[in-house]
Amino acid sequence: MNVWLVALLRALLILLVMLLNGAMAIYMLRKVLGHAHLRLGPTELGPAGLAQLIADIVKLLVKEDRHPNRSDRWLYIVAPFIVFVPSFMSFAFIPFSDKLVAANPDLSLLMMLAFLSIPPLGIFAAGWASRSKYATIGAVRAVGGMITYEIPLLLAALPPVMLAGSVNLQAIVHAQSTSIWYVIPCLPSFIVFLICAQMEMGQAPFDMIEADQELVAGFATEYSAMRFGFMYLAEFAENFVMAALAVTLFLGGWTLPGISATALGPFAVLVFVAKCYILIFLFMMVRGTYSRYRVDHYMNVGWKRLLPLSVVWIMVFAAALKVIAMLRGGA
Amino acid sequence: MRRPALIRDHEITAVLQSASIAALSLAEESCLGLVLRVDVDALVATLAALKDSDLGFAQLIDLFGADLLEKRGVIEVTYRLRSLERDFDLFVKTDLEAGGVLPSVTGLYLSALLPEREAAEMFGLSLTGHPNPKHLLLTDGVPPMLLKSVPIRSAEESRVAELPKDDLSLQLYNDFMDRGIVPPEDPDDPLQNYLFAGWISPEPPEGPLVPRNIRRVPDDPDALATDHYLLQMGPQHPSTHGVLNMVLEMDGETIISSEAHVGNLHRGIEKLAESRRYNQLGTLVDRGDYVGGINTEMAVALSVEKLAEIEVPQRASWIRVLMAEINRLASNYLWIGPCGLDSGAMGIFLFCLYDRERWQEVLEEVTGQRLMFNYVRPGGVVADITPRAVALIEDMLKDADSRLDEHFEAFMASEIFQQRTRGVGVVTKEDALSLGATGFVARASGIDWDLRRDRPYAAYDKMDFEVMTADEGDIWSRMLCRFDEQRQSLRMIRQCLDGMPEGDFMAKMPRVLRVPEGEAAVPVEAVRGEMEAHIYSDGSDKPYRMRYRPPTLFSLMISDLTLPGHFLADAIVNLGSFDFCFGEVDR
Repeated sequence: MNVWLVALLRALLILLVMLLNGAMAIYMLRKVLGHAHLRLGPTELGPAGLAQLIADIVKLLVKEDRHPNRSDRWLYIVAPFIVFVPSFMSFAFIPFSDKLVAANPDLSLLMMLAFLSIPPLGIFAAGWASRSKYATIGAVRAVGGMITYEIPLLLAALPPVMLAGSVNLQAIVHAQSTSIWYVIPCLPSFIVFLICAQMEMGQAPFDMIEADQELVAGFATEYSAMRFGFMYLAEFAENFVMAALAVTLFLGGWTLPGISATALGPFAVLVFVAKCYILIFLFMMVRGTYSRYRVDHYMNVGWKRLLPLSVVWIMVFAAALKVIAMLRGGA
Repeated sequence: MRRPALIRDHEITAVLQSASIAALSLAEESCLGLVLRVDVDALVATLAALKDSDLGFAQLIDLFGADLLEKRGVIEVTYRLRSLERDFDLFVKTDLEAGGVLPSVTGLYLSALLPEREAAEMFGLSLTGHPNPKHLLLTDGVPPMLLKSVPIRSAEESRVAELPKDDLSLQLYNDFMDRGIVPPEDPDDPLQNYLFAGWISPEPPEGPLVPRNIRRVPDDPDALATDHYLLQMGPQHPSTHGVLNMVLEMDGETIISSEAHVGNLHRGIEKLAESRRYNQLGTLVDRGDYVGGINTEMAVALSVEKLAEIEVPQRASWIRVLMAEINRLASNYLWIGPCGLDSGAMGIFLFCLYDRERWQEVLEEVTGQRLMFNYVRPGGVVADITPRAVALIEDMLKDADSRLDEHFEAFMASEIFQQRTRGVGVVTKEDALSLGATGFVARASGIDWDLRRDRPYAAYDKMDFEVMTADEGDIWSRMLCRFDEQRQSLRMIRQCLDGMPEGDFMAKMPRVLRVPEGEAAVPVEAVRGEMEAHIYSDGSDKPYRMRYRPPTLFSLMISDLTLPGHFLADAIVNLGSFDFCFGEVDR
């Protein structure tokens, strides 16, 4: 078959997954937060409020696409796509099952993390181009936050790589299916990873980039209609990507312990997605429970807690690996 | 309970004599207490002597004017001083001619900052010695509203009366821009710097004070030059609790100075009160503090009853306490919840709304209203409590305490929340005294004062409750004090249900209540602090003048002056922690 056609089909499939995930996550967020807050979430449109989402999308599509008078016009228009496209592209590397992965380069973990560090630039561009003080503060916070969480996030992803001996996500999953889930030997990394994932997603308690009580809507204050929708969608996509990454690195990906890949067959996708959504549920509960960190506390958490912890842990871990290897080699 | 050690008039005379000030008169007035009248030239000296004396007049509780031009040809300005040690209020009054000059006492009592501006604009006076003598509530060009010669007009009429619309917006804009580039005359005077930089900030900015919008040049040539910028927070900002407009001077994320612009919700309640009969006043004050209406209505009713010497039936007094405490509970829930929301925790907001809703149900059942109760009237209350209301209250009392503990644990035990509130927005005891803090703000700063205990009104003298104080004065202590208030309210509600006497709920009242000539002000511990309706009666069926003391107007000054040095995120939590109600600030 034509290479381009395959690529196009794969891209469309990813887009479909991303949109479905967006729809699912928005509905889930509303219901989870609703019940966590002693209310019901959407109930009126469609069965159990399912059609609320359609109404919202229609609303976003037909709303006026306005832009501030003195905004940086082109940057303002392009910024949502700088946020959206990389989150979309990072979907390509997620191994949904043994076969189902859109792109499987040898360095897939690194590429995924590289794509995930682009959206903050888009957020900065959006805030900067809006020429609004609130948006600018949000934008500056986004960049400051990115430097804060990026290093611990990378360091937290390293122990599984050391164990598996590969930076290919599929290889890491296979390595886990033959040994144990890496969450057991790398528990501190897993916890750091989850915290950094919350920071990366910009969700409460680390949502200083939008901080609605302080900054109205932060970097997105001046955005409306589908441009706003794109940023929203990217946020949910990132939600899923971070959950998928955590599942792949630490929770055995699409495998289940004791069941071979062939026996799992097509259910592998379901297993993977279910694991992801359990993590997303966890993120949402955290989001619905805690207060927001202040900017300086956020920096403290990143620089004074997570970074030293990750560095020390990774040295201890590497040393322990070496010692075990030597002991095994010696025996 | 503390026994008041009354201050005798000879003690005040002695203080005045030692400062060689000649008072015009010093006399006991029937419904008011001790009133000292001084000449306007001697006013500042008198207040200074009283403040420095060992009588302990540390607080200026209220400051307001009254138009007595028709009666005595003067505008009377009243200062209500309070000595907490001696549990005594002294009224100092001075007379000014129309358009006169009011000397500012902000150098003595910071709490005069905003009320002086209000008194000046409302009575067409001018201020001397005030650091920021702008209009507070009214747009420039609107005539002094509380003068009897100024008729009541609709908003549109008064808006366009004096200025063409274009000029008005231009003038507002110029006013706003000007403020940024007028340097302080005396950079060493903290009051002069009120508008400009880090006053009361933990660390005053180094180097010469630079006015707003001016580039601050760093000493080190290699250092980055940073601009301060103005951040207009409000009035459309989602979390300024109504229609406050905070103008923040920011250095990055740090607040350098803050100035609250109020008046967006000004409806002239004090002016309207002059054309309402006494039992209609409740509808107006309800629209002031629109969350704690029963307490404010009670302040009006108590003042009128004191003037007219009305005996209120026992049962009515008890019902007043019961309903006031239920109202306090419901209102405080609408503070705890949004305070959590301000810090980013949405859960607690909806948990609190759930509880508030249940208490609102009782208020609705008894008064027929959810916000604008108009329930407490001179002579008693409008309706008796119903059996269904009692059943509702008893039902809620079953788990109210445990739910309160649950809120406390779910919300305040969170470490993030404690990081956000401990040591933030600190109001020291000195500041609290000087800035006229009352209610929970004062108690959180270590001032052991609760009007329900120290000046019991209604049936509070028969209630058994405790008053909690904290020493830190930060947001966290305000939270603790408020949570304790909730528990004490529940205690009092139980006592009310158990001990409610039988009898009438309304005294026999004439159809049209005419009140003898005089003045009265009964301070009431309203939800947000001390509220009093200072009523001047001229013997007719309508008040000649009603002053509504808004506790949160005083909190607003405290909030402004605590903000410098904090982060932007603190501004919102700090603002929320004073429980503002802009219906009340603007009136």
